[in-house]
Amino acid sequence: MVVWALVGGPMLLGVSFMAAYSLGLAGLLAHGLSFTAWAAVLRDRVTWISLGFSLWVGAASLGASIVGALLVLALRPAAAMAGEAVGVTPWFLPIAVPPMVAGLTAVLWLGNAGELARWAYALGWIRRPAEFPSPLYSRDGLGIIVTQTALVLPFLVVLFGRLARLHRVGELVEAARTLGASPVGAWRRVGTPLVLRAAAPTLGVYFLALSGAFEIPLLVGASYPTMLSIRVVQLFGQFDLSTRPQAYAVALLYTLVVAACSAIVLRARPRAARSEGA
Amino acid sequence: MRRAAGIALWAAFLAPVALLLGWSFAWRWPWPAPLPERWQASAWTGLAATGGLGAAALRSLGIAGAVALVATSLGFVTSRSAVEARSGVALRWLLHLPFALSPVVLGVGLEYSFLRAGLAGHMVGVALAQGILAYAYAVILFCGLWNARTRAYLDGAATLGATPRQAWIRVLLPIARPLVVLCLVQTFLISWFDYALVLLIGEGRVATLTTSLYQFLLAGDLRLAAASGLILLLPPVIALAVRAQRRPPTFAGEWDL
Amino acid sequence: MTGPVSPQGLRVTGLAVRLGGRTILRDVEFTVGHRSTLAVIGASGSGKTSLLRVLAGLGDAAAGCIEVDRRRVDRLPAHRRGIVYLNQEPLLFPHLDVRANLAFGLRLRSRDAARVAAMVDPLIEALGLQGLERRDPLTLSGGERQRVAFGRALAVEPAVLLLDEPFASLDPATRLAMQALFRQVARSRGITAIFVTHDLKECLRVGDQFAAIRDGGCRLYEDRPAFCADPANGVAAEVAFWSAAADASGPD
Repeated sequence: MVVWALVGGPMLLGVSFMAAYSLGLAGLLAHGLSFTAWAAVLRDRVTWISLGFSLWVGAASLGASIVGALLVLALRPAAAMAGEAVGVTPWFLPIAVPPMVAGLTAVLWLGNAGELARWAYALGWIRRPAEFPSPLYSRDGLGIIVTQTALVLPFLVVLFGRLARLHRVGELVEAARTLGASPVGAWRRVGTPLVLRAAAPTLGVYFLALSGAFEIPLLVGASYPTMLSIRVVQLFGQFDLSTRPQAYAVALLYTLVVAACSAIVLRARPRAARSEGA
Repeated sequence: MRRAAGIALWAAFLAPVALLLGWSFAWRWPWPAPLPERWQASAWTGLAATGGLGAAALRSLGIAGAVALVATSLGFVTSRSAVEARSGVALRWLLHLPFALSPVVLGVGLEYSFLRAGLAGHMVGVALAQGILAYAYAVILFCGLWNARTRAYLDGAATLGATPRQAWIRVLLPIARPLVVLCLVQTFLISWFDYALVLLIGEGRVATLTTSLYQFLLAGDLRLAAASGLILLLPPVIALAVRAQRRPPTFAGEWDL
Repeated sequence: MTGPVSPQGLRVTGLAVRLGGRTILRDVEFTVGHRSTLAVIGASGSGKTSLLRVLAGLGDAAAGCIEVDRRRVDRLPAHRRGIVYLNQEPLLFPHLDVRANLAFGLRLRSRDAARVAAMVDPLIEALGLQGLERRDPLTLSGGERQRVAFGRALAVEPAVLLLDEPFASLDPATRLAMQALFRQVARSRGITAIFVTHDLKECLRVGDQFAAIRDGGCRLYEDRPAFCADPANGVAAEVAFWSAAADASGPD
């Protein structure tokens, strides 16, 4: 089938090549089957720290975005839902921002010599750029998380608003209110679970995509620890080929983790898609 | 109150763009000045210079245009078989995998095969690699088209005497038009936004807007980096502006990803 | 023009209807006379829609023979059978206005504009659609939409028209008016039709011949009295209800 071939073909090609290269069976450094690269990668603490750091950044960015988007939806449902009917609200704008530009903007706004630092100086709060508490390049990944949240939160406001309308969440929340739920209780017990359940597969894919982000960590991330995507490119090297087998091993390891996670995430079809078949 | 909140929201979203504009026109902007001390437009007037930003922008435009056209048309034609596939869940997983997986990992996996095929370091190779992502996206998007309602429209056309070809041209395409436009825009942006695949498959020999931006940033030239950023924002902002003028599609499928 | 025994019309023999890999109707046999309407009654889920889809060439037939005007059509694709299927929901093409929807089938045969107009204009009048020609289908009421869908089907002069509970979603008054309109148009234009419904009164109002789908089969009655005499069709129960309703104690 065409779809399988066009998407699955290249993926399979990539995976088999990563496996072959990391095991010394293909590529410029092929000297026959060897587990050296895998042993090095699996024994290296940096591999696991990078993996953990990637998952932390993905979870924190997505978590902050979900909480923020739900708050927006609960506080100003009309603002979020109006967007669909009448064109574009400000919530759409971050969708138009490439990650590379988001990273650049973060540098220009939040960096030690960025615009906010200059305002802080003008207000007499700091004397030198180094005194500005910039979240960028911090080892906890705060700069990456802040930048990714700024991109994802507005998208989730739009997505949640759309799903809420599709599943008539507004009416159901009202029904809960007439049954005696408080405004907060109605959103907590009815609105939030409905929206999150409908959005679950998309959020799962988003979590993995945020964990595998490249451009934003490249621009605003610390040199250590790094996200796994950065680690792969470091090992891959542009000129030095000696660590390439390790790069392929890390990349394959990550592929397997993501493939397994996304299989779990996508196992259940969204309700809307399922009920449509009849 | 409500109005003030709306204005604040727009301001928050437009402030980053204002800063990019400021930097792209700055001549001298030393710490700790909150505004540039002197202005100039050389980042913009130099666009047409050979090998400069203008060439990178044209290259990005060409690659993204080709990716959008090919991915959208292929996706449109093949999406029905994806909806009717028995292995629905597995196929859905496969189609989402390129997005869940870091593009870096995809690029690393494909780089050597592309090199062997003579495609690495060329625009064609970059477009092909991005096309995998764009095509998967197109199929996911067009799966929303093949709902019971669309099939009923096609059935209706058939019993009124339309051949399969006529049903596609006179019913399916007009119904799907909003979705086709959306797909063209989104697949264009997938390519337009991409950095990782240009870096890995292009091997540093294909300079697009995203790679130029990063090079300018590394070289400390914030003016040109900001100008690249603004050009990168242009197509998506135009797309949103056009969307704002229109009624949303009333008969297209739902948006998945 | 009608002879005593017309060889024309729709003839179905030994038809088996499948849905999702399962045979849901077997040995379906009936003949719908030229220019007459077969009213078919059946409960929801009895296989009425599946039967019509098979006749139209949209569904999956396991066995059997379908003839239209003595021409065998069961191997032909839907667009070459001359059988138009009218959905329960009037699926008007959302990108075309009312007039273009009515002309859809005629334009497929690339007839010239004057001929198309000559066919469409009388339909607009017969169905009371004057003034709605340029309207967007999404702005029409349920009854108006169903009239357009009906007109769109009539415009191609189908050999057989299949109606799948077309008035089920209309309010009672509109429904009654549409049943009368169908009768009148079907008579004046000499339409051969199968009208499927779960509503007993609708069935008796629109039909010339009668059949019931029940227990995986389709039973054809020889005439109206035979249909009414079969207790399974519920005519007697209905009569009993109304006479009891008029009593002082009321029905239970």
